[in-house]
Amino acid sequence: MKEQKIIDLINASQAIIKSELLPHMSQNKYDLLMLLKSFEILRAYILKKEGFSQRSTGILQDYFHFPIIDAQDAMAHLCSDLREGVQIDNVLELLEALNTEELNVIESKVAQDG
Amino acid sequence: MNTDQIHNLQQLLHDKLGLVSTHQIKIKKMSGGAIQENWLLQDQAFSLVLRKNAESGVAVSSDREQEYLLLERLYQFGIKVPQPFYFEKASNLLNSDFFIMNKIEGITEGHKLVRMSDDEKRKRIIQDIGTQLALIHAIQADEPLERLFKKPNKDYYLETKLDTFIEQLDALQRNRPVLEYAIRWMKKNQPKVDDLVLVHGDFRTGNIMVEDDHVSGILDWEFTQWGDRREDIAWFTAKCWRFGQDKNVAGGIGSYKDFMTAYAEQAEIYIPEFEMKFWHVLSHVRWAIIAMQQSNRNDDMQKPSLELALTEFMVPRLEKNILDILGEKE
Repeated sequence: MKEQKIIDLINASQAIIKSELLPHMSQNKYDLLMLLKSFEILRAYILKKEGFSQRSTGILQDYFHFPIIDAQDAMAHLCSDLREGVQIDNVLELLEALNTEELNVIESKVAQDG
Repeated sequence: MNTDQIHNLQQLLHDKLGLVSTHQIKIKKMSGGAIQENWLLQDQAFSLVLRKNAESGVAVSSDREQEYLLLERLYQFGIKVPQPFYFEKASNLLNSDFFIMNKIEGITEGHKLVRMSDDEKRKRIIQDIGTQLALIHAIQADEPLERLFKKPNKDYYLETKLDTFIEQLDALQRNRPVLEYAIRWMKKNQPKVDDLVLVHGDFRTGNIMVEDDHVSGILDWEFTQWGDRREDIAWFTAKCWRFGQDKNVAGGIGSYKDFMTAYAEQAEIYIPEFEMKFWHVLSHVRWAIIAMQQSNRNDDMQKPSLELALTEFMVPRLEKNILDILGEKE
């Protein structure tokens, strides 16, 4: 099954919500807007998950200075270091970099629209 | 609600409150309130709100009986809360503790309040909000209130709160390095807590009912506790609660100066804006944890909730706000 077909399905679902449902179902407007948001997140996740995973792993690798096998374990290790107050150079930059990767997926529409 | 429940409710209104309802009674679930449910009960002779537990709750919110007793006390103090009329324990028609209170007129929708075009009107509103908050913080502890909320020791108050955040994070089993960093920062930068006052706990645009240019009611008291007044002030002025009107620091409605000047006139205490840094970090950490707890509630729901599922995806934006505060970009 091609990934593009999944994206097409999401696009079509969003289109029908915008053109057919939202104009005629003002009572359910909030639910429909939530649905649109869900589809945006799903689409961004599908399109960006590989890049997200690679870049996040890269950011963690720069911190740990050794190859990361499991990104979740590495993240847990970082959290542990932060909790214990381990001195981390440029910690805000590190955290901002990780945060930006997540926001690129979750708020991809905002990023697109500027 | 089903037909039997509606009929039984009408009977209850008659038996307990002396209210006669007609076949035109409107019983409708109101929007908002992810942790509790609010139902409108409206007929020719009355306009009430029934408040009950949602299918599953967040652990730190108070129970309905506690909230009801608090509303009774606050109403007696003259605080602008809905007048509470009746409370009933669970194993009743609604399978939940519930209480009934008067419906207050006004609007709470945050996106409407923050987009009011009349600057002078918004200024009057924000000033009244400041005054009302000061009145809440002026409530003195007495036996009924202490029975509801035991006053903690102020010397350990913040440390205990931060330790609770850590426990909550561990229970959530999420790796959130920004939150870990923020909690660590707060532990190292704790301000002195001078006194503990009654804090609303969720004082924000969205829980404040406004009619014309004044506050008509303050809602949703399930997070009330004894705390530092700056918690409420910071929650109200936190970026996450400005509904996109980021320049209007006070709830997205007006300036911090106008809000705090009115607060200070009533409270005789002025909290300068620079003091909000710590408390804004705390507000965002707290909200991020609540958002993840709300997302987890879907595991307990019979029917999954899209709203709850989406709260998980608020967390990175809350963390961005924290990073901006700590990086002095906010």
